[in-house]
Amino acid sequence: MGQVILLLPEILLAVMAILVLLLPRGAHKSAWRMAVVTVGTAAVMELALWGVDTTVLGGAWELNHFAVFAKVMLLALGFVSIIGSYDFTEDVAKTALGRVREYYALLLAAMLGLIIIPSATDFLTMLIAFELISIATYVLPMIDPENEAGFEAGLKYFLTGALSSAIIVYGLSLLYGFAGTLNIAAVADVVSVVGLHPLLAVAYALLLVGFGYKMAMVPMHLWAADTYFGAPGAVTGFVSGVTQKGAFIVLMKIVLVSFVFAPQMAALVLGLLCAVTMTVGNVLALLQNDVKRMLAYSSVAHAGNIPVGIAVGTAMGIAGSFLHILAHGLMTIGAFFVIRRVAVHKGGTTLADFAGLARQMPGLSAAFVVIMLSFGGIPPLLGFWSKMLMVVAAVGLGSWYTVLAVVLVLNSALSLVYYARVIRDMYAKPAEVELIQPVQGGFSAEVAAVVLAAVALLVLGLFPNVLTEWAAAAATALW
Amino acid sequence: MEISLVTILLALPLVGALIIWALRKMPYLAKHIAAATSLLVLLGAVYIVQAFDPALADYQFAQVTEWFPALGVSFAVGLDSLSMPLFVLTALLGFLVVIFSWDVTERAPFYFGLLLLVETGVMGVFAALDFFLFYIFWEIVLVPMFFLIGIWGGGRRSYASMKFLIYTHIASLVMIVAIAAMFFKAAAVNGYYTFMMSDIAAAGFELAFQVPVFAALLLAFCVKLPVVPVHTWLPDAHVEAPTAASVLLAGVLLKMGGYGLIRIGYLMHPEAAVMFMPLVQVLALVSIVYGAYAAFTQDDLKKLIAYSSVSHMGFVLLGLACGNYAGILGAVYQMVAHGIISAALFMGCGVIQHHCGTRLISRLGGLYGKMPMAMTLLVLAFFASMGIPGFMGFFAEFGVMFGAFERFGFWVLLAALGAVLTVGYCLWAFQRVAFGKCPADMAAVHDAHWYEVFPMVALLLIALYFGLQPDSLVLYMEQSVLAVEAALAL
Repeated sequence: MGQVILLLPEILLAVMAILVLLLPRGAHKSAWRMAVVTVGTAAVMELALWGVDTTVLGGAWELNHFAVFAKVMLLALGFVSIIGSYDFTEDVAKTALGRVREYYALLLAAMLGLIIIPSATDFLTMLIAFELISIATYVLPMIDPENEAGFEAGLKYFLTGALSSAIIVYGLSLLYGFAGTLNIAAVADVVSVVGLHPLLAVAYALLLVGFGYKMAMVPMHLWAADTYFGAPGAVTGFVSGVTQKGAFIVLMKIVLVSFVFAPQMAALVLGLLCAVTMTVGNVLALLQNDVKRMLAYSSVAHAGNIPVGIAVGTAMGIAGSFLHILAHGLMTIGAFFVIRRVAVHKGGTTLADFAGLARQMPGLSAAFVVIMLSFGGIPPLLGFWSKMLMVVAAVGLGSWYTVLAVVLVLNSALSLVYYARVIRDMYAKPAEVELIQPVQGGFSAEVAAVVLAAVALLVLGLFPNVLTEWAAAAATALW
Repeated sequence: MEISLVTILLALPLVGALIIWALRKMPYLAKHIAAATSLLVLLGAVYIVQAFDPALADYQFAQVTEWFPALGVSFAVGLDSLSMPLFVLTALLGFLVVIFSWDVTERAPFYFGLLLLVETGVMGVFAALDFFLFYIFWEIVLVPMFFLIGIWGGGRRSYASMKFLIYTHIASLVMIVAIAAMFFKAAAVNGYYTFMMSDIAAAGFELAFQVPVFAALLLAFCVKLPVVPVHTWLPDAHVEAPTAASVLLAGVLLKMGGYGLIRIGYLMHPEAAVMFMPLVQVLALVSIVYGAYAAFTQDDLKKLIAYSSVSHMGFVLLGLACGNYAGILGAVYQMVAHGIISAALFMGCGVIQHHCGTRLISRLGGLYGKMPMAMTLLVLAFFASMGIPGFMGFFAEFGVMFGAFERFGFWVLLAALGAVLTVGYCLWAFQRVAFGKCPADMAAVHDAHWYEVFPMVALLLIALYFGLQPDSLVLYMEQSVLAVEAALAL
């Protein structure tokens, strides 16, 4: 019975994902409410497990500071994302198919897969969890039948997802063939004895490439821009801001647990990948004229920022990665809701649509500024502390990590250029495009989610202590 | 947790700005809220002055609260004899520019909120005792200033605001690199991460480390000061900025450069500072003479005043380059003096722009008959700027020249040349503006409004008071001057 209690959040998500499907067809508001309450409850239940350190299910499932922290963080991100999805699903409900229940059921299924990852002690469990996420999210970009770009987005997402899963499985088969185990910690024992055997190196490379696709690291990023751009804003926010973050948790386990005894080589490869990813992502983002596409590339750039702390591998660095996952999740979710809202009210998402937005939608603009500044790493927002932690941790290690830190700082400065451009256009330019749909007052779940994200970035930025201590505790629990 | 009065004063304008933005549907309230908040801040600053113990070298009204212990970041504020006068100056100008802007109606809530934000930022720079906090406030200042120039500015506002942002932001990046170097160096010595200025300074740096860091800091702060040849952003920014932004820019933003140079450059890297002295001296003399010379040739009254700022801030640098008591005192005094006098000058220029529709000297003339009050105040401001005895600028420049003569001998004549040129361009400009024939299109011009007269009168009275009673201000500055002198140990 004790074991069941520890698994309650997962059980809850699984049960509710099915129950949402059983709702009557018109009950989209109930579906949304159920999803919000479920994820919120799961987050609170998970939070109550903070401090538990045990393994269950015969060692296949572990709960420690790392797992609990990661799960609470992911659930919190999912919570914000699902809250804001209401306006989107109201629009979906008006379409011919009106797949609202299915939408929330899929979100819950994806959340279930997501929170299995941190607890998995075995690569196979992790892979299955990841497949659950992927399969649940493949159809999301196409949920709105009137959005043509969504089909291309979904197809690209599906094809690269299938390809990357194949690469991962191939890597795992090599790993199993050599090590005789797929237990994450047991692989480390093998690596510590034989060192980085060429076959292990190939397995590592394949895993990195496979999950690199999932994280959208350069050069495995080609799908990301089109998928993020083509999918509806709410879906992009969920995929890029929530489910994609699971891949970073996997990465932590691969680099910091399984291959911890080959740190130099493993970290060097990862560090190189980070440097290339941020630079390419930022340069491409700089060239965009469409804010949505720009943010899509900025997501690629941030996929290069987050693993810097993992490459560094000290508690401080990993804590920085954790904070950046949270920060980037909140920023992405919020930003893509803003994008969706602007697309609805102004008919497009180019820079011209954002000109003079501050007068047309003042509240949303203010929240968007906070989010953009956090993207750019402006203190005292959360996006700043996370980068700062990683930079300080990297410089603290010295040698080539210092170079990595410098690359991160330069990229951060570069990225500020395109974020600031949007802010300038919003505030300093007159409106170039008229509103095609008037802005109504009153409550909007989407705006609420944006404001929630912005406030969270600000409050966590002003009082970052507790979060950082927890993240550091989670990092130390890895070993 | 004890909350210092300084913290409250830093938070007040921010709260005021948020209230103004929350009530943006009632734009007529904006200026009243801004005036009330900044007046409160000014009253608080006055209280600080009278409660401040000038004999103490330590920080007063200090508060140290942990913020991000993982990296040793704390919210640490306090005032010593170097920062207190500048802090109070900021509070004073913050209030006066709100009054001066009484007739601004274009996007008024945004405008007055930004003015208050600048006030918080600049006061924060002077009060911060933690490098991290210092940098945050330093950067906060840029944003509202960028918008003030970019939205309410003149014809080339977009260009000027971008140039301002890029120049000063690059300078900030150079500065943050220097700060990061000190942070890691101090962490290696101390064995723990800290951003506290006092802890980092206590770590002590060897000369080989000081030299590159001081060079970076010198570059960063010289852009802000500004010093020829990295001054070119200033005339552009001034010309395009609305008057209130110009007043803040010249009055307190430039002082951030001087303050940083003394606090971080000279006090933490004294040996490198001594090594760089010849360079600093040359830069200072070039700034003084070139600034004055360039001012001579301007037709735009505001650009003329902007170049005079370059020239006057050169005296700050020259005073520091002397490294003796008189020079440093002159430099510190000049920062406050220029803050008050240039503010009055820019306001006078703003009055002309406002009532005549142009600032081009060639299109003005005979204004004394049209606006006697404004012209009287303007000529007094010009006199103060020239360094006429009786105004505080005289004491500052006299101190600097005195110190420079002691250190460099007759090279000081170059600085004196700058002062002579200043007298020339000030009088010439005033003569062309106020006397002669009034152009036909200026016939309907009338005198300045109360909200324009009041801030100028206040500033000139202060300049006069401290010109006649320099001791009453020197008293508050003495400890920091002695500290710099002792650190340099020349």
